[in-house]
Amino acid sequence: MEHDDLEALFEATRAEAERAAAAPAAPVTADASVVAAPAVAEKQVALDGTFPDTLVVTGAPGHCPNADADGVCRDCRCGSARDLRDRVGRLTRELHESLQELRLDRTLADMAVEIPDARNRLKYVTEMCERSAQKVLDTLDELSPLQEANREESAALLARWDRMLTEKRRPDEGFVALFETTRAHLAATVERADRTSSLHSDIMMAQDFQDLTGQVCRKIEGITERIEAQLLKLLIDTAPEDHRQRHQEMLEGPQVVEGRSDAVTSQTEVDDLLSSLGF
Amino acid sequence: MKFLIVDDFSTMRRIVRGLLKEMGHVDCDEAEDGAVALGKLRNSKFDFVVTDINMPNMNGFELLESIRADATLAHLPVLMVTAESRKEDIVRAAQLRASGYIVKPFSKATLEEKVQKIMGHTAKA
Repeated sequence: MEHDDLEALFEATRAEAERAAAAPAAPVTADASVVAAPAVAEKQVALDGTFPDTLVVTGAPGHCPNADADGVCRDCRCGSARDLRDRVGRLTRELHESLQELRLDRTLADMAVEIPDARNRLKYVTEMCERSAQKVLDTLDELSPLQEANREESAALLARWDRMLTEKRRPDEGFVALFETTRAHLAATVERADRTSSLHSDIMMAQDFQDLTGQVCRKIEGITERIEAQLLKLLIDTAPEDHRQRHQEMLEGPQVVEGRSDAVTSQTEVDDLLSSLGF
Repeated sequence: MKFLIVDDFSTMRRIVRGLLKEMGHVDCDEAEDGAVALGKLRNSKFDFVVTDINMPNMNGFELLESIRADATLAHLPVLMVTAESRKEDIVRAAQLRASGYIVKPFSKATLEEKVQKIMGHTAKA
């Protein structure tokens, strides 16, 4: 979608929202741009990994008049949900059995170790990018007042020389040459200072890469944390009973709070956990 | 005129602050997420909010919703900054009555144009 179209969409939707806010009792009209929101909400729910309420299976087999002998209905939403749940269940079973077969395969264990490493590297990239960007901005902070002082002094000197010219003295030729040269230099200095200011602004704007790349890195960190937690959970699920009980309580999903002693948080702990599971 | 710049990346806060300073707006404060911003808005007077959307604790949408729901803050101009030109983000910002939006990366001219446009609307209202 083009920027102008987005701008028009924003303005139209905002105007509608303002009208609705001004008259809260009035029914909301079905504006084409406004109806996009429910679709977004559904997409978000799906991305969050949770099912919308409309997909909950509410009936036993045979509840729906369209259901077949196995209670599966392919003609309405309840049937779709049941079908979806069956498919997810079968997929989970296949994955579980495949992992059981792969228990002695080092690849899986290696992957579980490499993912935290990749996460740490990404974190390092984020930190380095930020440090670098801050350093450039600090330098600019120091440069700006120096350059501004240079500009102001030059401009003031230029004004003084201009005033001298209007006093209509009759200086000798050498003085005139010096005057012209000095004046040209000062004028150029002011011009260059203005250009340098503009370049400083460009340098500052160039640092927005840190914000954008940083957001990408944070997303990848989140993804790898979730994958790591899921892999470890699957490994524990397929481990012997005594190992499973010992480590189950350590896995409570991705750990985002530092300093917790009851969860797997570091590379060493993951290594220890994997070792204890025989990998 | 006092600005509040809300972004979880300090670099971005400094860039926006620097650009506002170049535009003549030197009175600026910063907040690293929506929750901190809301606290500052309730404790001192601000005239304009520039906020990122994607932030931890309280994102830009939640902050905007809280501002519009608070009778003492509802009038505040809020300029949203989005990382991507996602139609759903822009529609949601408009539905929550954002005063304007900018897509990153943006230029000084874009920020200046938006701020002036919003300030013009606010002065008329």
